[in-house]
Amino acid sequence: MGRHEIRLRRRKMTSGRIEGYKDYCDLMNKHSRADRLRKAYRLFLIVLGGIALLFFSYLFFRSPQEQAPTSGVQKISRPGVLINYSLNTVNNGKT
Amino acid sequence: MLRIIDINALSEAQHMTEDQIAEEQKIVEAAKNDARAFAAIYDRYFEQIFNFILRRTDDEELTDDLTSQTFLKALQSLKKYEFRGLPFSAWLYRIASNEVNKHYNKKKRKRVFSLEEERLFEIIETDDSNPELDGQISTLISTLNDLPTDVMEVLELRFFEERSFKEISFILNISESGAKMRLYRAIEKLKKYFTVNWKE
Repeated sequence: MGRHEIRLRRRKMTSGRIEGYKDYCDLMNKHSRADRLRKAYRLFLIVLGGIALLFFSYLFFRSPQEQAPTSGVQKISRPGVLINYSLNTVNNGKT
Repeated sequence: MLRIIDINALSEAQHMTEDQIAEEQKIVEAAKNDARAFAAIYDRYFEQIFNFILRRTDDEELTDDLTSQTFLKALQSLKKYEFRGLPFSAWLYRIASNEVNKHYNKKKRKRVFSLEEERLFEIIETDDSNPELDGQISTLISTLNDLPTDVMEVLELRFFEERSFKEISFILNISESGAKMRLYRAIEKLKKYFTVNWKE
């Protein structure tokens, strides 16, 4: 354990002098200010949490159509050549 | 001339009666719902806490700051306060002690115990004509300086703040037997240089 210094105080602190240091109004003002800051911070966290919840809900619940790729006839092209193809369901390629 | 320390000359630990503690609890419960009711507690304990912090810092401006900080913390944490059969002042002393410790840890300075000369004269049995009085005071201060700080804390709380061992153990967050053991070590050290009159 650390060491310390003992000092002798000749001048006694009277109740009257201590009374001069009392400031209850200041204490209540500081308390109100700290209370307001705490409430504002809590509100900020709630709003942030709400926004995060909405965002993740949107990602999770968005419709499948928005997610699936487009289907249909594919056009395959080479430079200068455009070939369209489609399924032969008439004779399955038998000529 | 024999050097005698009469600790019995100091007041015994202040004890509130159960009725007084119960009455105080009602004020605390009211203050939990309405901060304005805290004024009664502030008025009752301001002087005690101020004196306690002044004894630990020897600086009036700093004492003013730390006292204000103590009551602010008490007000902000009031809803978490749980009654443990001790006066509310024990909780205030605990917060004040923590604030003082935080200050010294931050400033990395040697801790100070500022004791009233008048109070020391109460315990050294002597008369005004004693030419060795200054020497005895110096020996006493030197002995107190040699004590470990944790022992000095208990001695100061017991004889200058007049707290009971139960309160001291709560304030310093140590066991009651630990608090008593530290005090006995202080008394044993004083007995090397003084005849100590002490009835526990």
